[in-house]
Amino acid sequence: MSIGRIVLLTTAGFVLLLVFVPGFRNGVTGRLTSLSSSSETITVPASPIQGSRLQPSSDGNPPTSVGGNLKLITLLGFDAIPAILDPEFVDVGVADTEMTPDELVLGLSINGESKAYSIPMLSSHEIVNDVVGGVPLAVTW
Amino acid sequence: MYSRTINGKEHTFGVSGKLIMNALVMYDHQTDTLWSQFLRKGVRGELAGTELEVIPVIQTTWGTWKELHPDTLVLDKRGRYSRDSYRDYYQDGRAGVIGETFSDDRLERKAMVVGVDIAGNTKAYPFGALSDNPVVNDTVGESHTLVYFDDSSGTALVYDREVDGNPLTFRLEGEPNGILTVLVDEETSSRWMAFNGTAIEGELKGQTLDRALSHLSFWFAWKDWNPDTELYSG
Repeated sequence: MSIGRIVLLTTAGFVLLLVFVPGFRNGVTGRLTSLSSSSETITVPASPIQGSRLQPSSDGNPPTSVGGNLKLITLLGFDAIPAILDPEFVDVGVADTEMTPDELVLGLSINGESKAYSIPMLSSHEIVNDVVGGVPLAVTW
Repeated sequence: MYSRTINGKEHTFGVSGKLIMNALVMYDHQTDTLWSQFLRKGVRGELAGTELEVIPVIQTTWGTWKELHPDTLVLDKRGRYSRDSYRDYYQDGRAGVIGETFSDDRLERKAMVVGVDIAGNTKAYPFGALSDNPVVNDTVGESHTLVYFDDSSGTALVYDREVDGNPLTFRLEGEPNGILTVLVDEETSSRWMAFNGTAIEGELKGQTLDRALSHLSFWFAWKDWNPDTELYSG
């Protein structure tokens, strides 16, 4: 293993600690900026908002969402937090053995199919690529 | 939640490891475009500027969700994830990983709000204020909105309260009763289930209110992204 790769892995581990062990972050927040491997400004184009629930703006033009300059910060590499690509599901009986009634979930129902996603689990994966009621969707946290 | 169908093609998303104002930036495996969760659009790459279609979702407790949908499927935890890795973070005063963009002391940074965005008009409803006023008939921009909050499960639902072009005015029928809570509209006295916005009795029986675009967030993040936001104070 090259020195460069060891340094990279160590840095990644450190940043993961910052992200996933919040208590660890207290003393090091000030150093975080220098740890960030990069920070760049990106210009985001304004664009028409889609969706039937949204009304035209008062000037009669289609509504547009925010555009402008945003600061994009890189903390981790791509997929350092693993999104779920092949989700597996259980029924209520099995889920009851793993979840208490007060555990937070995201839930949705489409075309008669309902699915729930544990928020503590989403905290570790951020994104679930799924299909619900025939609709391909991404559950994000 | 977002549709993964973009320009007629199915895409899959991964975590980019990047943040914009402390919020998730995704990328798609097909074009490597970066997507902002909060902006709901592509921000860099081939599909920059393209909007994601939002699919309404409920954040609630497992107990409430399974009552609502006894036939629900549940993402398999495989015996893991008993502790939320962000648990302490939810409780403390810190503003994300990189701090907040500006300070706004109308609310505690970590106060939970449900934010409504209607054609660029934004308004935040703090859980604290909704706890005292669980049914709010309001106007955001030119749209009539209804916010319903179930205090026992921390569930916030935002509806468009116009039916056939006419705004309705809702109130609680009796006391809140979890998923069985009923709302009544003053105009027709129809009875509506608060949790799914469907009229079960009266002139408007069978009608369902549309969900409005809303987003649960910490106050600091909501106002960073929407500096012009209104704030509901009860």
